[in-house]
Amino acid sequence: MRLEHIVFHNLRRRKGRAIFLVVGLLIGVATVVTLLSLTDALGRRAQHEMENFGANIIITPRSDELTLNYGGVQLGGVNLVSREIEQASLVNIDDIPNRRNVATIGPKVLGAVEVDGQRVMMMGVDPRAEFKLKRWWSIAGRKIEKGRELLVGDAVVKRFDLTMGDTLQIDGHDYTVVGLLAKTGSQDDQLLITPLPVAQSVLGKEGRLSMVEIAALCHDCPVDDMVNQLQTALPGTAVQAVQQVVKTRMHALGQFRLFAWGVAVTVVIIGALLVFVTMMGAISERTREIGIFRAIGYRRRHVLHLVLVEAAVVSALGGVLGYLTGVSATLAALPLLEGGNASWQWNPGLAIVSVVAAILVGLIASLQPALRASRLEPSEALRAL
Amino acid sequence: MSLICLDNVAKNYVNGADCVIALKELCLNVEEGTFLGVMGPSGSGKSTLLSVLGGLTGPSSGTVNIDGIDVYGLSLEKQADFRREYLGFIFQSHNLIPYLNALENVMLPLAVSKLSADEKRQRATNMLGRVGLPDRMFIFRNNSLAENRNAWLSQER
Repeated sequence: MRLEHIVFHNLRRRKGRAIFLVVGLLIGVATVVTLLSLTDALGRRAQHEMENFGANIIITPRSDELTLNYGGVQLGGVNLVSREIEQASLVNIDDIPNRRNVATIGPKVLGAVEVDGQRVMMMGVDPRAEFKLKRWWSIAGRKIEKGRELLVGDAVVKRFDLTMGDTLQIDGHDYTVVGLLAKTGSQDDQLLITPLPVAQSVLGKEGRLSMVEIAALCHDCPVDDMVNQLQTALPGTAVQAVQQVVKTRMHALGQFRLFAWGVAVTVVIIGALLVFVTMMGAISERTREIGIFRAIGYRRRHVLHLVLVEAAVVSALGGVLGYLTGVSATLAALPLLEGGNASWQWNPGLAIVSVVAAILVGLIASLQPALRASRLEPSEALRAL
Repeated sequence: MSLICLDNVAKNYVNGADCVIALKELCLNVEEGTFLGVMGPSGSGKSTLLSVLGGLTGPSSGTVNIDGIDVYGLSLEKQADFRREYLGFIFQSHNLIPYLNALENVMLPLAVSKLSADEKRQRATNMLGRVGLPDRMFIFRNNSLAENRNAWLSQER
């Protein structure tokens, strides 16, 4: 027989109190797990949406000249005698500390070309990156891949009365229309979109870029940090975050996270008080028993051990069951949030922290009752011999 | 030297302005192997004396030597060790731990010892046998008062 034997027998005998403590901690841990899991799931959903939304950081050449405007963003020097971004410098992005947060890099070159005597804006893009960034584009036909292929904006289609398979002559070369871009309501409607190397060649801008759009996953990093890192990596450029999109999203998430933590802390305090009051009651109830232990030679630390092991066992059980309940509640709640699009992902860290935190709360809240029990003098505890 | 030696032991219970003298200038020597009974009217200090002898209540003055050890000169934790190693108690009320069976109650002092589980069990079983309770070791509360006392008597050290 060891001291733990006494602990388990006592718990079995006083089932009601043990169940009360376990349920109290279970509710606390479940609430915390549910809130943190929901925050996590909604955060990941927001991150996913941000990827789908497209670029949230735009890099343009730094220029003091008058600029053209694309998509509400000032494009330094797309006009005439401008500085541009060296395409080779994009490799520097690989060295920034938050590289893992860079989801997509969309380089672009812009310039005017002449079609049937009319000037039209041509945009050269990396097709794979561009279609990731512009997931909302609706295309009749197919996406451009390589060579002299064109994806034509809606306004240009109407101006030149184009259909799929038509050929446009630009700078002495034939370009085939492989896709028609449905009206977007943005300046994309005015564009002839072609693969980047082709556009660079026809515009005489080999190895140069007019702008770079980046989709950054800023779920766990401040976008301002990303901007600063990119700015350092790409000197001579202007890096701007599409602040409204990112910051609004981050602010909302931050608010929810703050709320979740606020509730979590409150629940933990209530749980600790519950354990404290219950353990104090238990010690009063067991005064005589503790007196016997002390009379037959248990040291203070033995009594402390009895009380704290009991608290740890009950708290661990509350922690495990609370975690499982919290996960179940999260799975039940997620379909009701974000249109059922947010998904739960097992987070081993949260599982471990839940159980460890429950045990710590239980132990800390039981420390004072345990000390009180250990300080009981046998003669005080045993009024009558 | 006597096995138990009390020298000028006094015990006063002070409650505010009230002071109750339970033991006064008590000197007592008990030799090894002596069977000693203490008689006296209610409130004469019998329980206090047993409590002092049992290492449970420190005297207000005087010394208590048992087997050459100044019991109350020891630290509180050493006093606990002393009680575990040297003393046995039979309480007026049986005071068994109700959620442990007779065998486990006998083993209670051994729960904090470093003996193996088998050895603890063997020693407790032997002691229950010595007090005539070998067939009651897994019983919880249904023992008679005498049986409970026997269980206490057999508590292993």
